[in-house]
Amino acid sequence: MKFTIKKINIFVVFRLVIAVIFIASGTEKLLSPVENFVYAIQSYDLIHDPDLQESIALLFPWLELFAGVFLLLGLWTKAALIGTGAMACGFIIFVGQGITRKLPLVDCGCFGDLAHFPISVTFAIDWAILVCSILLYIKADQTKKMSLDKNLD
Amino acid sequence: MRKFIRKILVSVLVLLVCVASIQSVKILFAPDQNGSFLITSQRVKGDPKASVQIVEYVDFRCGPCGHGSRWLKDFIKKHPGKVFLEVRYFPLHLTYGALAARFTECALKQGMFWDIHDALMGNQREWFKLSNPKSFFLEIAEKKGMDIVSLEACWDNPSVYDSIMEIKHLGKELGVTATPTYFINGKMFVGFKEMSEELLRLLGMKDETVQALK
Repeated sequence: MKFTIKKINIFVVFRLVIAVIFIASGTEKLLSPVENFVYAIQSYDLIHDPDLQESIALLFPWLELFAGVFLLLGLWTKAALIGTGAMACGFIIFVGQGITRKLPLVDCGCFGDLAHFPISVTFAIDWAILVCSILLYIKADQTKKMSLDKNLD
Repeated sequence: MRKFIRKILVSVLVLLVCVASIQSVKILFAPDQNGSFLITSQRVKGDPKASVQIVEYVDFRCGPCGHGSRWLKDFIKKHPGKVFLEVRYFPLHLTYGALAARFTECALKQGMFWDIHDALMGNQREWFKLSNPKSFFLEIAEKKGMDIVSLEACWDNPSVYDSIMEIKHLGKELGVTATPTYFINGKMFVGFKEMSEELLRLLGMKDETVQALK
């Protein structure tokens, strides 16, 4: 079978890229002690209830992982894209208010020790994820190529 | 309908595989913490028999580390016998963070660890933005009466850097990624706020300085 550059489906590529980002981010947080992510949440100075901070630190990485894996497999693709888009919105609010308030955020805490990005780069990545998620949702027919949805629906 | 049920079953299977994979990795690669909290170094302060044993992972360039160190210094001074503290290096900045760690490690060899530790943590603003703080460090060393020739030979010695990186590696194995990270009686706390609250809780104290420092 001939495989040319023209045959690469850019929507599938974007879907896989977003999936890998969420899987990496979720997995790193899940494998690290939860205290590290609690600390990252605290540094944004937006949620002050310790129980809520810990609940988010415990649950959120699982959501990231599940959304990433579902997107990777193309299972419930549209729902997974709503998930990644909603999470990107959350990141934008958290990081955006941090930048506006000039909080001393050295690192976003998004990927734990796996990768460190300046806060402005993180903000740009979050916007890119949101835009891609919306775009992929709109072009769901294209996005669902090479997916389990294709076989199971 | 059958297709929908099949899709639900596949989804549940995927979720189970995810959970099982993460839990397996966690179990297989769980850090062996036996002995990790045994305080054996000389970077210690307080009463070794104190009920609260703290291991503190710091980067000398990190602001919250300075904040925590100054608070702990005051706390130990005000409440002698309550806490035993060990400082461990976790330089995030591998040039100047590590240089500061090398400086304190070399000060340790001259019996001046706490003098230099306190000078660096207490005056972070004076040096952490310098493009090369080495001359500032030398100034401090001279003021404190350190042997400068031995100091320079020591911080150029690769084995000092290696020993610092070994300490950092041990921290990583324990799950340390950010500074300051504290282990209070073996339990991990990241950040000054978490540490101070736990310390006061363990000792049944209320301290206005914590509120003031927040």
